[in-house]
Amino acid sequence: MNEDNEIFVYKLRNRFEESVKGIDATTLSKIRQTRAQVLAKSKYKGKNYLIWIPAGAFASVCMALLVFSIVPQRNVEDQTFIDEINIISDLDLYENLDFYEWLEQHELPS
Amino acid sequence: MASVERRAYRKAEIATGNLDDAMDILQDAMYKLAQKYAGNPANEWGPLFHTILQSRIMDYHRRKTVRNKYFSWFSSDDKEGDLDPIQSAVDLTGKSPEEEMTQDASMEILDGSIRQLPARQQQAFMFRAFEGLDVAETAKMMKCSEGSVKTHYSRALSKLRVKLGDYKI
Repeated sequence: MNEDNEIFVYKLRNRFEESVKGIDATTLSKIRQTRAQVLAKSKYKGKNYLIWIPAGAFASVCMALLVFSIVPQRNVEDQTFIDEINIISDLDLYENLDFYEWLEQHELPS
Repeated sequence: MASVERRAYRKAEIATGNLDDAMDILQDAMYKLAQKYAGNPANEWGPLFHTILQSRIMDYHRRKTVRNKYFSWFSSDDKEGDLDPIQSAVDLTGKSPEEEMTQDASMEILDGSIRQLPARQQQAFMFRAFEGLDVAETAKMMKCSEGSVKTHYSRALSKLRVKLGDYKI
């Protein structure tokens, strides 16, 4: 860059710096307000994850209630199922099938 | 950050020529910095902020170009539209051109001359002249080659010299 350009740029930069210093109070106040708003907004946004703590706790409680309300029923059902299996697997019944058929044919009380 | 904000505001004001648009751009840039780069070291905030600001200014120019194209389709050929009421208004203060050349007036002329530069030249000029960045730093900020920076800056200076040559800056 030649000397003329350097002087020219130096003058322009000085004018710019002067204009920065000369920003009026109203505008400066607006800039400060904008900064405060942005910081408040970004802080709030940064702490959004805190919302998930109570939400997670609530979901866990709901899940626990759901599980505990279903599991006992399943235990009862499981027990009934096991009883049925026990009856079916009762070997005496299978061994005496002929006898029960005979009982049915002769309409005798069982 | 206070001085950085002021400089940023002035740059946005020069680029847009509108106080509200400048404030919007500044707000966007501040928000982006706080949102994305708050965790970066404090000494990086200044350059990051200026990069974001320039990016927002470029977005502004793009939107403006699209808006102008869109409105030009619907604008009428009414010649009255060409008349600028401010330009044609009578000067009630009756100041001579010499008197008009006060500090504010010359700054307005400077602002207007920079605003008329193409967006990339404007960008290169602001980084090099106002922020005092060297060619390599400017190239990094503008995400282009050093050769492009030199070209943009040189053209910007030539145009400004022609436009501002008669004025005492």
